[in-house]
Amino acid sequence: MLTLRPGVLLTETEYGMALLDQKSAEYWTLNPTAALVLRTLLDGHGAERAVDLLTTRYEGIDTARAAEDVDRIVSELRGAGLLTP
Amino acid sequence: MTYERPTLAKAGSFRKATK
Repeated sequence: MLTLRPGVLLTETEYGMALLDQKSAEYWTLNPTAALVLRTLLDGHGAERAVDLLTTRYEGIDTARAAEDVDRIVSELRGAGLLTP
Repeated sequence: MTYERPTLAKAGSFRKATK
């Protein structure tokens, strides 16, 4: 299950989501689709569920591309040190 | 809704708490 690293605070915004990293003193923003992916995964669902939500809520996105985008955004979040290892 | 690729952007930094 995916979780935020301790010390990372999350808030929903009018446009997606913001993450505040108390350790590095940096903050990050996620656009609406990234926020949807992260919220889905934090709620305990798998990547497949995030892919399903992206393809049903948005136009012009197929399963293969959505799966690729979910993997990439999770990698970016992990690379930024925002997730537990 | 039109799809936008998920993005994570570093928005800035803030001062850590410093009697």
